[in-house]
Amino acid sequence: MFTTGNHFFLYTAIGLFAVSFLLYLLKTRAAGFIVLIAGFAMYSLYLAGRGWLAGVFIPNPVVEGPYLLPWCLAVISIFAVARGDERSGLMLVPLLAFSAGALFYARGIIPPTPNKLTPWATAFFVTEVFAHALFYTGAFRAAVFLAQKERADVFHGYLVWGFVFYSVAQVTGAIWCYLGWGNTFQWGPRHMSSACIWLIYAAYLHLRFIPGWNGGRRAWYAIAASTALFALSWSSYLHEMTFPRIGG
Amino acid sequence: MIKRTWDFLGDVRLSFWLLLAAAALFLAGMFHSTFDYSYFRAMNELRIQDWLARELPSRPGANWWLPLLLCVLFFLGVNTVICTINRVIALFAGQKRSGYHFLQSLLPSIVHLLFITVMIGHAITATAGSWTRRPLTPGEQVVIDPSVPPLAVHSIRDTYYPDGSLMANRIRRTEVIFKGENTLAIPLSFLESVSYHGYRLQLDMVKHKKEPIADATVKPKIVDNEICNKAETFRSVERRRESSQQLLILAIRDPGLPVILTAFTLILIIMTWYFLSLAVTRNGTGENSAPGTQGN
Repeated sequence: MFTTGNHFFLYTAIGLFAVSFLLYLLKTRAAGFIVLIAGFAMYSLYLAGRGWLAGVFIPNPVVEGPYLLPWCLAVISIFAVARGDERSGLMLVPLLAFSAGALFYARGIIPPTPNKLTPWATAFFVTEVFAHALFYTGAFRAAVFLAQKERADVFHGYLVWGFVFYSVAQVTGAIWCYLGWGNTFQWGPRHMSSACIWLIYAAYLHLRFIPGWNGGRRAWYAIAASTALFALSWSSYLHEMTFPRIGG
Repeated sequence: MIKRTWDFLGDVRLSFWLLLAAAALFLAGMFHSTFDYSYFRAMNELRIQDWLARELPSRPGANWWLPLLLCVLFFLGVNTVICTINRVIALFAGQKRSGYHFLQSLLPSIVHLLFITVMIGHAITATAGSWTRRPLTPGEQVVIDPSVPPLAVHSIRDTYYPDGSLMANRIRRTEVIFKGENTLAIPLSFLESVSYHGYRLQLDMVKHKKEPIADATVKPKIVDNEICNKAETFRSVERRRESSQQLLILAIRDPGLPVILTAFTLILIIMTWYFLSLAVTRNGTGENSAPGTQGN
């Protein structure tokens, strides 16, 4: 089932996410949450199935950025509902937007070379994509804040945890890079773009201590930072679409 | 004058602009390395001073961002140290908190000092590391360094993915057996390095560009429908390696590595502790339910 018709789970999951959002708009939150959980379960099955696309289990396609990102956003949405966040339904907007990205992304897998088959690589992608999800959520909540719908503390919390996850990704990535290529940092586009993103969000964390940077200005910064993150990460993902792929 | 310089260098506004300047210079480096990948790849195996001495005069248009980046990172280091000293002095001067809460308030300063340690570790790697690559051919000897006993390549064994899978002709694992001094067998695989006379030995492979995979979406005929059972049936055979794949040995000396990894691990532990304790404290008082809503 996982190697034939696996993409059925993806389409079903995204459909359920859309229904969940519709139910939120209709103010039937409990039903919306149940549908969100069902969509999350379907999406988890899809990700597990991606590991089997080549007929033998390989973890790397499971944690491929464009596919893992909606899953991470779904986890964050579920967590927000569980915490009693009144605006948790709005978080389905970035989830649906990035699900659309997954819908149009290349289906096959990039055959991994032996130096990419390590738990450190899996840990790197999981933490990096989770950080991206938190940064995008933070930016979205910053936009909600600018519409004067909530407190600045809400978007700030997401960005702080995004930074923690992104820092973890830098460590796991450094270990993987050392084991696979002999350096903890390489002077290449992927590493330099990661360093750039890390520094942008490190700068954000300092804004709270600079006079004049009130919630509104910090919200604009968060939105600008997520735009930079989107441009850098998706230029890389789109480039990877041109790589030779198998399966799917 | 000294106080004004000290205050300027320790200002958090300077931290912000230096962080953004470093981000912009990394972005510039990213664009250059995207369009000149092979050229900048060579930089990973040269000491940075050797690279700058050789490449900056010959190709300033491609390398202009690198000395600027090093300058910005240096000032960021100075700024971080001064900020941290100022903050620790202020904390000790106005200490009214209990032991645990005082320690908690010191954590951001400790993280900043550890960040400096990571930067120093990278500086040590970049200025004192060494990377040596040698091609591997069965039966031949590899000299990493004249002061180190040579290694003889005894055998190269590839393990391939199972036949029924789309990965069938691809290498899952490679093991090279070396014979060192006293004919001691040294096995080496991808991602599993070994220590040898002060060097870290690793396997590496250079892949020359190939044609796109033909019929990649067409699965080969699967004899056993229970593919789950095939997951571990990797075939270990002496299949002929493709001519486009050159196996290499990489000998590394990286004195900065332990510094980087230790400091980075401590940063993660302390940062997680700090933000979790803040979130718990705030949730406990019912002030706010958002995680980590307070900086340092």
